[in-house]
Formats: sequence, C-alpha cells, structure tokens
Amino acid sequence: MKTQLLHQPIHYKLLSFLFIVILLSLLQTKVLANTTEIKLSTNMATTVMEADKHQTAFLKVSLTGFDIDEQQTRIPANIAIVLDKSGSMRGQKINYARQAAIHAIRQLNNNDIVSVVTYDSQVNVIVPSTKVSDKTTINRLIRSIQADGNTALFAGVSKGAAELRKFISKNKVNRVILLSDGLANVGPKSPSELGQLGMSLSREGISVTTIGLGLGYNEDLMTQLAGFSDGNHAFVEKPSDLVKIFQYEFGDVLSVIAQDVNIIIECGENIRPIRILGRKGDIIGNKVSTRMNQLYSGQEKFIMIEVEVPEHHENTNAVIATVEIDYNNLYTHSRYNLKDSVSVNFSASKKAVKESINPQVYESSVEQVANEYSKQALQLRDEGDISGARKMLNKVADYLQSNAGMLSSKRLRGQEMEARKDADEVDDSSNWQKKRKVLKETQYKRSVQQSY
Amino acid sequence: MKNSILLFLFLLIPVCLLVWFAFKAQSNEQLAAQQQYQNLAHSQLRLIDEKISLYFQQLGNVLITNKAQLQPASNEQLKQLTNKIRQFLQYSPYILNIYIADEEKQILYPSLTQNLSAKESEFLKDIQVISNNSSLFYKQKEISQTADNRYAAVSQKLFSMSRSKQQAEIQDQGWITWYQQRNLQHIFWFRDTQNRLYLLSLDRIKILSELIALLPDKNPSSRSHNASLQETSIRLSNSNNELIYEWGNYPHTDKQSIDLMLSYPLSSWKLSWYAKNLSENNFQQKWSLLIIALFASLLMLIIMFVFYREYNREIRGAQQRVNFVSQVSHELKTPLTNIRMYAELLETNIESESLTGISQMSSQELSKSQHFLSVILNESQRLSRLIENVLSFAKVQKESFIINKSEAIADESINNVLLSFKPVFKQKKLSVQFSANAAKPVNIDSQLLEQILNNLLSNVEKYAAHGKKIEINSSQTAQRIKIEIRDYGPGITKTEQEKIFNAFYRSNTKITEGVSGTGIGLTISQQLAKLHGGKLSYKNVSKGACFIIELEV
Repeated sequence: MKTQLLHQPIHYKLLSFLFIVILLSLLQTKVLANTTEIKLSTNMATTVMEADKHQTAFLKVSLTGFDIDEQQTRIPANIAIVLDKSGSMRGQKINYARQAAIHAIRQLNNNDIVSVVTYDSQVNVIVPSTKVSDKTTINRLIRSIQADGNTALFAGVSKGAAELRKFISKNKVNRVILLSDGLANVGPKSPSELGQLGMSLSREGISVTTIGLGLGYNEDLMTQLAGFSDGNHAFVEKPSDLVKIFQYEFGDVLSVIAQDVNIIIECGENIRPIRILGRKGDIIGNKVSTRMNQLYSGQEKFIMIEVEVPEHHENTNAVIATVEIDYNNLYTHSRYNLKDSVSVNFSASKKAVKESINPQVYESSVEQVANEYSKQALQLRDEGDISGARKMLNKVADYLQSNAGMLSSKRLRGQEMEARKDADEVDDSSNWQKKRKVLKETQYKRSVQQSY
Repeated sequence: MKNSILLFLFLLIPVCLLVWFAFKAQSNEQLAAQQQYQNLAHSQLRLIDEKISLYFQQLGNVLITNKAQLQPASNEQLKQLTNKIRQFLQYSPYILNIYIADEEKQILYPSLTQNLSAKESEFLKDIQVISNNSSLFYKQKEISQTADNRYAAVSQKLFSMSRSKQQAEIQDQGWITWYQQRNLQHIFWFRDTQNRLYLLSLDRIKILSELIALLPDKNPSSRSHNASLQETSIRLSNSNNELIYEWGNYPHTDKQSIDLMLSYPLSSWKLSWYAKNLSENNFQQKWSLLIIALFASLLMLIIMFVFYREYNREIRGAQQRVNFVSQVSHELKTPLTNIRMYAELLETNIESESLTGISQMSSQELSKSQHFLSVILNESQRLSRLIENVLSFAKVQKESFIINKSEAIADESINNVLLSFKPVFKQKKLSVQFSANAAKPVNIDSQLLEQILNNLLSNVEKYAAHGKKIEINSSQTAQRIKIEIRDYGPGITKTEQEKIFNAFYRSNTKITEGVSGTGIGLTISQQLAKLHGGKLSYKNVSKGACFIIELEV
C-alpha cells in the first residue's frame, strides 16, 4: 500500500492520505464500539534481511483477542473440575482444594455448567454436570470430598471430559481443570500418553488446565497434558495458594472469546520452516499447521517459527509466508477467516537490517529461543549433565543479556536474571524437585503466553 | 447297661444326623450360592463386555461414514488427495493415521511421492507389517484359524448388523489389533467398491478414554439398576495385566476374583470381579448354621436327658408303689397265716386236752402251747406294727398325724419294745446290751418313740440278725432324749445311706434278698422323729449299722 502511494502524484497522495485517515478514524470508532474480530498480525523480526546470505529468520504470527464490553454477556462456560483426592492430598491440601473449588464456582452463574469429579484409585463423579443454579448443593457435595487412596489420573480426566460432553457445545468454553499432587499410578501414566489424551480432547474442543500441587506430581505429565490440549498449567507449592490460582483460572476461562483456532502458515517459494518454537504443530513441506483451542479477551498468543531463507539478491523482496487462520467467534457464533502475509526486503547494508528491527517481534523471538535453550538445559540436567546444563543456562543468560541491551528490553533483562539464577541453582539437588517444577512451569507459560 | 447304650445311640444318632445334614446343607447351599454368585458376576461382566463390543461396533459404523471424505475422487491427483487427508486428519477425533492402497496395492496415501511429515513416514514404515500381509483382509475365517501371529489377529466378527445403504458399498470391513511398544493398537479397515483398502489407525488413548467414560464410576449404588454391584468392584486390565480402570466400592486387598476375557478387538484384556462374598466366603454364614445345629443338638440332648430322668423317676415311683402294695399284702398275709395256723394248733391241743381231761395236760404239751401262743403274739405284734406304720405313713402324708405328749420314761418305752422283741431275738440268738441312762420322766409321745424303736429293731431282726448283738444306748439332757441303736450286721454302704430314708426304697443288695419288707419303715420313723421335733440319723461305724434317735422334750 505504501509503495503504491509513493508512485501517485502529490495531490492525489494528500487526498488519499486524508481519505485513509478519515476512513481509519471512522473504522477505529466502529472497532472500538464493537470489535468482534481477532487481530492477526504476521511479522518478521527484521523487515530487511541481509542479501546474498543463506540465513534463518524468525516469523511471528500473533493473534490478539478483542476486548469484551462490560455490557456484553459472558460466554457460558462448561467446566469439569477434576480433583485428586488420593491419600497424599489428606489434610490441608484437600481442604484448600475444596475451598478453591467452592470459591471458583462462585464466579459462575446460571448459564454455566459445572461438574466435579474426584479420583483416587477409582473415579467418583461428585457433581454430575449441571447448571450452576443451586450452588449450595454443589458446595455441600464438594465439602463431602475426603482424601484417600491411589491416583487414577487418566480415568479422572476421562470422566471429567465425559461430564463435559453431556453439554459440550462450540459456543461454550469447555474446560477440564485438573488438580493433582501425585503421580498417576492407575491406568495410562506416561507423560506422552497423557499428552495424547490432551490432543484428542483438544480435537473435541476441550482444554485441560493442570494444576500441580506440592512437590509430588509429575510436571512433565502435567505440562504435556496441558500443552497438547492448549490449557493452562500452574505449579502451586502452598495449598493456601490454590484459591488464588483457581480464581485466575476461572477468570481466564470466563474471558475466552474465540475457539477452535486453526492456523496454517504457508511459506513462500524456497523458504523452509525449520521449527515451531514453544508450541506444537505439524510441518509438512513448506506448510506449518497448528491450532489453538481458544483465544482470550485482550490476550496476545503467538506462534514463533524459525524459517530458512536462501540467498537473495540485493534490493529484491520475497514473500516469507502467507498465514491463514479460521476460528469460531463465540460472540457472533460464526466462523471467521483471516489472511495475512509477510514479506522482507533484502539489503546489503547491515545498518538497514539493524534499523528494520521490529522490537516486539525481536523480543518475542529472543524470549522463545532462550526458552527453548532453557528446555534443553533442563533435559541435560535430567540426563545428569549438571555442568552442561549450567553452561547452557549461562549461555542463555548471555544471549538474553546482549539482546536485552540492544533492545533495551526490561522483559529480556528479567528473563536473563532468571536464567542466571537457574544456572546457580541447577546443581542444588536438595531443592531440585521444586526447582524443576518451577522451571517447567515457567517454560510452559512462556511457550503458550499464559496470562497468569 | 444295654438299655443305656441303646438309649445313648438313640440320642446320638439323630444328633449326628442333624449335624451332618446341617453341614451338608450348608456346604451345598454355599456351593449353590457360589455358583449363583459366579453366574451373576459372569453375567454382569458379560454385560460390560457387550457394552464394550457395542462401542467398537458403533465406532466402526462411525468410521465407515468417513469413507466419502477419504475416497479419492476420479482423476484426483495424489497431491490433492494427500492434502485432503491431511486436512481430514487434523479434525478427526479418532484417527491418527490413514493408509490407503488401491487394487494394485499402489499406496495412495501416505504416498512416498509426496512430501511426508515425520509422523507419516514413521506410520508408513510401521504399517507395512500389516499392509503387506494381504491375507489379513481376505478369507477371514481361514486366517483366523491359523492366526497365532503375535502382531496381528483378525477379526472374525463381521458385523451382523443390518447394513445401511452406505455400508452396502463397503465390501468388507473389520478390526485388526497389533502391538506397538507393548500397547494394543487398533486398526479399522475396510474396502470400497473399487477394492481400495483403507487402514485407519486409531488413537488408543482416545478409545481408552471413551471406554472409561462409558463405564460406571465409583458409586454405582446411586443408580438403581446397578444395585447388585454393591460391595463389589470391577477391574479392567490390559494385556500386560496393568490396571486400566476400576469401579465399585469393595476395597479388595486379596487376589481372588472372577475373570472374564473381553471379546474381540480387546481380546487380550480382562475384566475382574472382586466381591466380599468371594473372598471372605461367608465365614459367618458357614459357621453360623453349624453352630445352630450344634446348639440345637445340645438342647435336644438336655431335653432328652431331663425327660429320661423324669421318666425314670416316674417308673421307679410307680414300681415302688406297686411293690409297696404287694409287700404290704404279703406282710399282712404272713403273720395272719401264722396266727391262724398256730391258733388252730392251739385249738386242737385244747380239744385233745378236753377229751383227755384238764389235769392230764403234760408239761410237754404245755410248753408247746406256750410256744404257739408266743408265736401268735409275735405275729400279731408284727401285724399291728405294720398297720401302725401304714396308718401313720398315711397320716403323715395327709398331715393329720397328732402327737400325744405325756409324762413318760424313755427307758421304760425301750424296755417295753425290747420285751416284745424278746421271743424273736431269742429265736434268732440275738443278745441285747441295753445301757439305760434316761430314766427321768419327760414329756414325750411314748407311742411314737416305741413305733420308731419297733421299726429299727425289726430292721435289725430282719437284716442284721447274724451280727448276734445289739447295743442300745439311751441318754438324756434337759432338752432331748438320745437313743443309739447299734448292730453288728453288714451295715449300710455310703451310697445307700442317702436313699434309705426315701419312701418305698428298699436297698437292692444281698442284705435285702429273701427278706420281705414294705420300704416305709425308716421313712415313717424319720418323719415321726421330725414331727416330734427331733431327728433320726444314721451314724457311720466301723462294723454294722448305727441309728440315732433324738427327740425333743
């Protein structure tokens, strides 16, 4: 558009400029009054790339949910709370879990549907899915939960999902909220199997939020389950924090504005996607496809893709990718389709490249790359290579430091501090159990841009 | 002895029978209950199995409906088909991967001519084991008989459901199970009318999750139709015997269960039924019946014993009364006969005398007459004693006996009685040593005392005459008179001592053999002594017997 404008005679330029300004301002007001479209933006870390160089670059596809008016009625939620009531939950933990559930349900109203499922070695549907009209009964049933027995996590989630299915709808927010403090030991118990469950649930439009309580749970399993189903994940060390976390989670659930978001990114000619940072997706040829279960009001979620760009001559440009998304808008009850594309210019001047940096995108890319390194460091630590892990984390910190300086980004600075601390603490085996949970949680939240 | 053995057997046999029957009935019942229980459990498990089979059947029907979306359109390029299927897979809730080959076994998807994702190429590699084994998709019955292939087994179950129009376009369909990393995976396959083969690799986790959702949760009691599931729990475990899911409310710690293997395509999986009845085996029930039987037989024994004793007593009483009557008649008859005989003899003596003249009666004749008279006197005394005893016994029984106390001397009464016994004692050569120390007149019923003495002395005469000696010792205090009568006869054994004072009791020993008696002598004597405010007791002595009469003054 810009280039087109540049070639017009000057008065036309002015006129069209005015026209555009007026149009935009009109649009702006309209948009502000009733924005029901998701904002899709596709950007490169630099809009100008070095010419005659085989290189990789980062592409950010970000989706931002529109804000909800105060007057607008909220999208009804269909929530299954799945509580671990195994023996290890005895005492304070189950007490706070009950409280948390009761407090969270207070936020729901007559249009919402809730069910409460508990599991030990067996599964017990405490509150079969029901409209949240009789809160006293629901609360009474929740209070009757007593901790005892083993941990049939898989079955618990399956039953929770079964309760959701009774009222499942594309126009509701369908969510399983799983609280567990222990290892799954009845039924499928590996992280990959639970991840697969998350994946299949996500295809039905169900997300699973996993809340790990205390130091006994399997953080890999919980993040996999949340990751594949596009739910949230949280590590709660103190049972007393459960109430807060449940509030956050319910707040999140109640701010969903779109669901079933499919994203297809098709790379331009000769441009090859290498990897997706943070999120899961399929890369087939030059096509990347991924999905998100939902988008939240006012929150930005993005996908960062590293692409391989072959040599290009100076002063040429290339379409890096075209992006196509479609999603189900919960407010208008219809599917929307959005398209965007991004291209870069090639220049011999490094200065031009540097000047073209898009700070937000660049920051995100650094953040995600560092996050991936952090994951690798964790893997090294798991394999017993503590010094390697520390080296890796220090490298991450240095990387963050240099980029933070360049972008003068507080966020990256913060992440750098975090990485330094992680490097320090990576060999503290007495505290590792907790540290690992914190790391997993942080990495997860970064990967999926979790709001809390 | 023989009788008691018979009686014992008579008692024992029914008791034994009762216990045995109870035990038998118990074990039979238990067996029946167990059988019934197993049947119930099996039928319940079979219901679940049917539910699961139905799930797979329905799943198959759902999967078949995807055919239209998967079928390559005429003239469709592989690229288009690949894209179409990829798109399809992205949304399919059950299908993880698809394999399509045409009649010539040309792979249409995932085609190596296209850019394949890592997942697709891996699948292609894995599926080759199955796709190359074309026998899996033909002549199913023959194959299934020989199929012991660890990796693949064939469904013989062609769905017998009425085929819809769409299904009519399907030539064949079925399930294949195979193991991938120890996990049972399912493949649903079908052929379309162009004889293209479709293999749909299903998400085992999704299927598992749905199966679990299908099965009941912990509290089946809340659902009325499952009331029989109370106190039981059911486990679903996979081919590696790992617990997949369980429900019910019986916390089993034991290993005993009723098992059912699931039908195809989960044929290596198992349902196990755990229940209280199964493991604890009705311990209480088992023993309770036996205990009741034992208790009942014990009760029966007691009742029989009581009845037996009562009956014996009755019999004995009746016998004693009969004896008494016959003995009394006998006793009455003997002295009467003697009296009559001697009176007649005396009469003939007197008649012959009157014929020969009064004075001519020789001394020999005279002594004979005196002897006859003494016998008559003796016998009449015996008779009157007997009658007196019977009368006083009757009176005491009727509580109408009156004691006539008057001034009397005990020694005199003793002497009187001794006097009356003198002829008999003389006849039996019994010597009497009487040391009299009760010469003061006291207020007693002398008649009563004499009756007692009569009884005691007549007993001595009857049973202890060969002891040759009687010692009588009388003493006196201000309150009472005490008389000891001791003989040197056979004495009375310890066991007999308790019974001798019972009415109609006659000890059944050698002593009493051949000696007649009524069996009320000692009874009436004791009763009389008691009425007089005293007692008659037996005293153990080294030889013979000793009775002590004590009378209150």
